[in-house]
Amino acid sequence: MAASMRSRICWTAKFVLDSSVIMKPRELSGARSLLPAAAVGMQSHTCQRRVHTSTCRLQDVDIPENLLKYRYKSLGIDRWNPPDIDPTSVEEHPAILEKVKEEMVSADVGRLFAVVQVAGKQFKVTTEDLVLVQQEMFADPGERVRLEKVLLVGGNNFTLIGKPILSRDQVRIEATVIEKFMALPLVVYKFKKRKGYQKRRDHSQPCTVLRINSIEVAPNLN
Amino acid sequence: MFLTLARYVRSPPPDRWWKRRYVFNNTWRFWGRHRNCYKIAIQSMQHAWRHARRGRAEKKRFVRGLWIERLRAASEEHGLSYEHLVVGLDMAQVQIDRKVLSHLAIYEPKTFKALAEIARISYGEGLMAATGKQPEGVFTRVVHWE
Repeated sequence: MAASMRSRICWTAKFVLDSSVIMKPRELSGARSLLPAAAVGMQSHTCQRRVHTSTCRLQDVDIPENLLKYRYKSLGIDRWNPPDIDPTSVEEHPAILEKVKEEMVSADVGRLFAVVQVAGKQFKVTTEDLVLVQQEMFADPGERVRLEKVLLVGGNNFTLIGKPILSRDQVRIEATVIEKFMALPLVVYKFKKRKGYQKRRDHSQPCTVLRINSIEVAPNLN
Repeated sequence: MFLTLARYVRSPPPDRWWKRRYVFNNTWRFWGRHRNCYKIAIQSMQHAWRHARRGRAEKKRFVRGLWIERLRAASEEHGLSYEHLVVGLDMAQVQIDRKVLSHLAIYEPKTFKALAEIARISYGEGLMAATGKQPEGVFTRVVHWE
């Protein structure tokens, strides 16, 4: 009985300590009063483990060593406090960089493909491709358009992967608007039985067709 | 005597034929009375519209499941699981969607291999940050957030 009680207390202490670490205590300057009852209550339970109990501020909790392994660190990107990574920092493998630059500049770079995002959808395109975009683009047929959201560019021997997109100096994709039309109408019919509810709507989506003219890479990898 | 108004009111509405023609144009492929008898055809037509609306939504779900199946197979070929691939790419801030990823897995194997390596490395980095242990045989560029 005593053993199981102790194990239950250990589990609850771990849970509280975990939650405190998730909330990044040093940034909770204005929110210290959020968990006082829980923290104080738990700390009184865990006085078996000799946790510091003089204050209820989360950042002053000394986590004993045998519980440090439970310290939770996020496996994902901290989206609210993103790390300050210098986007122009050079990679640790200059040899690879040089090779890729050579490849890109060489005469036989061949056909390049790119992953481009247009109108909220991603397409994998090469030159001379037709892309049907289900959106009305404000460019007339015959006008040349530059596609800017490029996520990936690849050739036979190299790939450039953007985080999440590549910069405008590195890649240039040009397309021509070929035609703009309204798709054939679709009937959107809603019906609920025995309630007299029915609605009908004819929907024809405005579409644009683009022809990809060229994909060019420039060796600006820094 | 003026009879035209009475005659006009009592004549059948001129668009009945056109209304039925619209329905039969929609149902000419159906079976039997569903294509020839208006009272039955109009119900079949409405059912077809309802199924189409539901199908349009289901198609998106089905196709996404197909992409995920393909990515699962492709990542197993590279020694990763689908979850690791997707989480790793998300941690590496690569936002290529499943549709294009599955296409690359089929038609651009070298690129997909590179993406799998990126996912493996960033997943390993995440694990390292959490557990303090470096994965073996992998070069990692550690990012310190604290």
